[in-house]
Parts: sequence; C-alpha cells; structure tokens
Amino acid sequence: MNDDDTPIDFSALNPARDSQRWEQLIERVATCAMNAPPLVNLLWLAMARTGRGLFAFSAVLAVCAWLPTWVQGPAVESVPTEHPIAEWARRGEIPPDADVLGLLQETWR
Amino acid sequence: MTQQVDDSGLVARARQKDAAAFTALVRRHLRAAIAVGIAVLKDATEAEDLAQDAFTVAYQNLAQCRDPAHFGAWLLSIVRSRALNRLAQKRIRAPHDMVLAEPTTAKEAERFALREQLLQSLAQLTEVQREVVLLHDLEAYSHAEIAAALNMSEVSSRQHLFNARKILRQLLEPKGRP
Repeated sequence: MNDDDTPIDFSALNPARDSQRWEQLIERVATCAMNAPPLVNLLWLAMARTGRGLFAFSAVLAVCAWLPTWVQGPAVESVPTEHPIAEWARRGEIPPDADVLGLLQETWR
Repeated sequence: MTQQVDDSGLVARARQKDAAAFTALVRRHLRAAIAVGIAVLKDATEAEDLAQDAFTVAYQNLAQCRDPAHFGAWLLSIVRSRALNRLAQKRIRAPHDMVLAEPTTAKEAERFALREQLLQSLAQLTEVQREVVLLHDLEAYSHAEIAAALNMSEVSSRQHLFNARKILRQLLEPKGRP
C-alpha cells in the first residue's frame, strides 16, 4: 500500500474514545437542542429592537425634509402654458399674435 | 459513516418531536460535526460546543431540510457556516488560543500531548484539507460523501486528502527518523 493511502491516526481526537463521556455528550446535545428557546423568535426580537430605533430615525428624517416645504409653500407654481402650445404644435397652425400675447399675460399674472 | 439510508426516516420522526429519533441522528452525526468544527476552529473543546449549537439550529429548522436522506450533509453545512462565523468573531476579538482540558494523570498527559501535536499539525493545513482529512480518516467518510457534504468534486476530495496526508506525515514523523 502506498504510504499516502494509509489513514492518519486521529484517534486522540476521537471524541468517542471515552465512551461514558461520549454517551453523556450525545444526551446533552440532543436534550439541549430539543429544549432550546426558538432561535427564530430571538432573531425577530433582535430585529424588532433595532428596527424600532431605525423606524423612529427615518420618521425624524422624513419630517425634517418635509418641514421647509410646508413652511414656505411649493417652490414653483404650475404654469398652464403647455396645453395651448402643444395643441398649436399638434395642429401645425401658427397662432394669431393676440392669442400668444393673451397666453403670455395669463402666464405672468 | 454508515446507515445514511435511514436518515430520512429519523428526520421524519424527529419532525414529529420524536426525541429518540433525534437522539439517534445526534448519535450518528455528532462525531462528523465535531470533526468539521475542529477543522475550522482548530479547537477540540470549542468544536463540541459548536456541534451543540448546530444541532439546535438543525432541530429547529428540520422542516427546511429539503433532502432528509442527506441530513448529514445539511447538518455539516450548518456546522461549517456557524464555525466560520465564530472564527470571524474570534479574529475580531483576540488572536487564536488553543484551549484543551488540563490533564490530571500521566496517561492523560500523554494523550493531551498527542492531541496537541495533532491539532498543531492540522493547523498547518488549509481549512478544506483539514475538513477532508478529518472526515475521511477520523469519520470514515467516503469521497462521495465528502464531496456532497463540502460541495466539491470527488476528484478534489481525493486531491485534498493526498496533499493533507503528505504534509501531516512530514509534521508527525518522529524527529530521529531519517
């Protein structure tokens, strides 16, 4: 047999070499696993704890971002110029000067 | 490793909270779990604690074991993942220190020295080499079983075993031998 085909003797690391201790270990591992508190619930609890703080922080940020808009009003007022101009362009017509001036007056008002 | 065929039956019974079935699964796979723990953590005592942890996770997630016939491979993936997490935490906290129970008799002292020598030699291998050589030579896993458990090809498993044994033989060889 090739030397490299021979298994290494790991018996010193074999946890079952002390049979009495080994049986106790099996019993302990099985019992603890079956009686442990649910890990998923612990995870959700941890997420809830950190999540609550994050939610409060996000809410404060959102209020800070919205407050200036609420105090000053909208930054730019909507100007209804698009519709008549788009309509002229769609029809390919050249509007009379009076209509253009009227639209500009409405815009500046 | 033997009797893998019966794992699906044991898993089915364990899902129904059958304590005897779960204990049988522990009996069958605890050694392999500890071996993988040793391979990653290089610490026999901590490997037992890790195996305990992994079996707790496995028991609480038995419903998610998609292939109960390969419960062993699934369990070892849990062991490996949690071992790597522990290793990362240990690296953050403090340098690795090997912890072994203190010997009380001369025979125990001899065994302790041998264990320490084995662990120190194993530490010279790569993590995957340690996993392969421990599963094969300590747990008698076949290359097919190692390939399934560690998500590698059988050829890779053979190669890692060959390299690991070669390095270990050099390290474990008696100093006086030519």
